[in-house]
Amino acid sequence: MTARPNRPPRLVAWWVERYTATAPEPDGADRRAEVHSDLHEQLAAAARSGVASRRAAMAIGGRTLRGVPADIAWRLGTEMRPGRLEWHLAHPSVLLGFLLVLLVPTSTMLDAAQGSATWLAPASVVLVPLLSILGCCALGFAAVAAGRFLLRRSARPGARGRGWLRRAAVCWMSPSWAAAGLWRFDAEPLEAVAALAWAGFGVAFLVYAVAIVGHLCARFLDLGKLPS
Amino acid sequence: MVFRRQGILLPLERSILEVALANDPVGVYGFALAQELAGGAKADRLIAHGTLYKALDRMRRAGLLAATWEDGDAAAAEGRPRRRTYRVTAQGVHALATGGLETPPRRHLGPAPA
Repeated sequence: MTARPNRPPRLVAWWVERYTATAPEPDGADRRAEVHSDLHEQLAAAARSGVASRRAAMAIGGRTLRGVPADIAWRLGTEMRPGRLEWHLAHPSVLLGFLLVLLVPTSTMLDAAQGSATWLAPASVVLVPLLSILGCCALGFAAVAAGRFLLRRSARPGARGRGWLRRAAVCWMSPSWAAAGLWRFDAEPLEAVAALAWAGFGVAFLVYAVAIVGHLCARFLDLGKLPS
Repeated sequence: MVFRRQGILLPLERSILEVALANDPVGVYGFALAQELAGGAKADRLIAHGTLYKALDRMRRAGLLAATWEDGDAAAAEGRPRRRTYRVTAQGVHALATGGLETPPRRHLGPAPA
């Protein structure tokens, strides 16, 4: 098997690009440029001291891997900075997508386990309301963002087709996820509506997944490029 | 994960200040700082990117360090990306001498210092 010594730096560049893409500027751009410079310096230092490129690449990969928790903590910390709520209202799909990715597997696991895992019942007392609150927050956020968009108080976020597909899927997923939550209450008249909503959610989630996979494929094609 | 007490320097922050102060007034950039913090250890012992740059960002926001981007032409002449150089501020020197910040850092409450 042929080694690809520059693969870790490419993956590092990809990871940095991912977690800084929606970070507030100029912090995101500064972080990308700093890591880019760091990668260059480390590879140059390794070349000067005669270290094998594969070993240097592995060392860079290790440095990145060990720093992932700090990267995530830094990125979450940037959300506390001024102006972030305005930014998210102008780009609602980022936060809604994050919330849904968090909500969907958790609520699905709860639903699947409710019948058989009796030990889960106490946890459900906490988790179900928590998920419901998060879902309501997502809906409220979507409503505010939609209202602002309709009132043209924020600039229409320009995006390519893939971005619009993702936004449309998120917009449909939010209410359909909430409607599907009615299933939990076993209310007869609402069961058909809930089933329909759940099916709609499945379709929208599929569209969302396709959009995300398409985006990842597009990113993979230029994975080798370091940020300029 | 280290949970910090407000106003107290972490060991990493103290080390960063010491290295930056030793390189004053030229300043120190990220990779050189990582090398000095490792104390000549092997490359796989260098501090992680995330840990280093998160600490630098936090210290810059707390006013302990000042950061400047190198001139693009100088970097291009040497065929490398621009470096971001960090220098210790007066507040950083004071914090290093006293072992802590005089006042707790006010994070995320205004525009970041340069």
